[in-house]
Amino acid sequence: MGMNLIAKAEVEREAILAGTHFLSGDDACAEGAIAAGCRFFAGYPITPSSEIAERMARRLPQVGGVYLQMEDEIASMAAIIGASCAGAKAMTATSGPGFSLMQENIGLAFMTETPCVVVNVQRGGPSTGMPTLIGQADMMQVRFGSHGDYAVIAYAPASPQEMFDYTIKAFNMAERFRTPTFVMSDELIGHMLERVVIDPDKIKIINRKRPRVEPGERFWPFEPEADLVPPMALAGEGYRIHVTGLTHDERGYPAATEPEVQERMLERMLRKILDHREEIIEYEEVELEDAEIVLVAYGSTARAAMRALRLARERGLKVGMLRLITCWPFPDKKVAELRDAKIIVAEVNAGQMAREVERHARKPVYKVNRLGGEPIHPDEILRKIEEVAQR
Amino acid sequence: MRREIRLGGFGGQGIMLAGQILGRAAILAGKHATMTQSYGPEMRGARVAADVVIADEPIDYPKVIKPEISVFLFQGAYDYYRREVGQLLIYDQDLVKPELGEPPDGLRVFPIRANGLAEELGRRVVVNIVMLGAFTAITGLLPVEVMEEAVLRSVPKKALELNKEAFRRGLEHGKELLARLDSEGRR
Repeated sequence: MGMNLIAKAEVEREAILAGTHFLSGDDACAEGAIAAGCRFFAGYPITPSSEIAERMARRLPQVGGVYLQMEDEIASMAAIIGASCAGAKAMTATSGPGFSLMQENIGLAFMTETPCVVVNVQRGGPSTGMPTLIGQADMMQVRFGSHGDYAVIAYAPASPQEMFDYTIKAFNMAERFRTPTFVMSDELIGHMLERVVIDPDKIKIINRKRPRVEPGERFWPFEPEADLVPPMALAGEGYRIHVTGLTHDERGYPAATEPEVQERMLERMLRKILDHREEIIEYEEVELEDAEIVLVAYGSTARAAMRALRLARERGLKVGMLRLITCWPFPDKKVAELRDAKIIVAEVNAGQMAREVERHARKPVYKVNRLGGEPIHPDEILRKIEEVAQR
Repeated sequence: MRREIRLGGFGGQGIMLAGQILGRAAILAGKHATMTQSYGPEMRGARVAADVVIADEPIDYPKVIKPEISVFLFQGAYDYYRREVGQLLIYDQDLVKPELGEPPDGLRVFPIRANGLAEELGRRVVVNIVMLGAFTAITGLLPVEVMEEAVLRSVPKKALELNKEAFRRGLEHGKELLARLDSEGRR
């Protein structure tokens, strides 16, 4: 088609929707992708993420990019992997049922170390569940949904502004570590409108490392550098590369019967993320200094928790909050520090991240759960705070 | 201070756009605002609501908890939300027949001829903008210029004049209604 979708090194200012806007989380996510340099989107619309696809379909042609409407989510995931291998920053967006279909190819992206971004605007599940209503029940699926071992970078934005900011961050981390990354939003954040400030001067762009040698010289596509991340050659550039979902050596050649290669390659792929967890992990601390009760929440539920915190403080209760921004890697050290407090985990599922909090705090936590369909109301969290304060 | 506004109607009346305009105006006025929405699975003709929260400080919980101001353009929406309309009820006098009897203490009621005024402009689609004009006059929540600016930024360019006129007619209608209620000592 004569198009060049290869990611540019600099921020493309003219493509960015600079200014102060009243935007939905979904629209802000699309704008964040464009600002990050995303020029390829392949997807299959599904509520409550469809507005992302809709906006990308309109915006990408304006900035020289490509929107592909795929036949399903399996193909969508495959297409963004291919586009990324050819040098484009690529994204797809979906919700629960589509996220399930993507799982195998998400594994392919991990195994081939292909940077790309998958957005999941969570709704009530399992199965088709509650298409128009909220859920937060894919938090473990994003961690373990594909087969095999892998380490995940996933963000849980709590506002349209964070949908913008953390979509950019997801692209940056995908490129930095050659890995798929995830934006785990939810229906309330995706569909709500709020102020979004977009300042091109504040946007930082990270692009994947490129080969340090010329095409034709010795280059192994999976030979890591000191940070454990291999530079990435693009398809069609002239480097000799081989990309496979099979266990492969540093040259990319299949080594599916060689356990020592599996040990070496997979351990490096896990460590390239986990050795950098302190660089990746993000959370927000709210009034933790003197807190006797700590709320742990993420995404839209953190906003109900924030209100409950304020109401409880007005009543003289010493309540703080740890808001997870990266749900994965999990802020394990921070949570371990909370073990002297009474911990309440609020989430719109049957208790997914609560288990992870318990694992690292090494004690049982109190829970506020809804199974999907309705966000947790601040009063529900406040009641639990008051109940826990009595104990 | 946290102000909560519910706009209710049926799909296709531009309720979501009205909510967006209100939120956008709040942002233009330097305030914080959120808008959330509720609707059924139908594309057109079913009850919808745009819930707007406006505050000077950052907003924690983004959904309306207890609306202070309710605006209805559809009987079905009024019927659904009638148990919690707050302190100020604004409704289209032709499309909504509230069964209030004597309004309870603390509730002020404003019937608006929004649909009628929109029809006089030849385009019933601007009923939402007429209502926003009346809303601006009655609530005084946000400055008129800011509301008008938000309207003009939110509608198609080819319909700017029509929407400007719709907003102004609603605004004048709201002002007249306030003046009449004042003169009758009923405000």
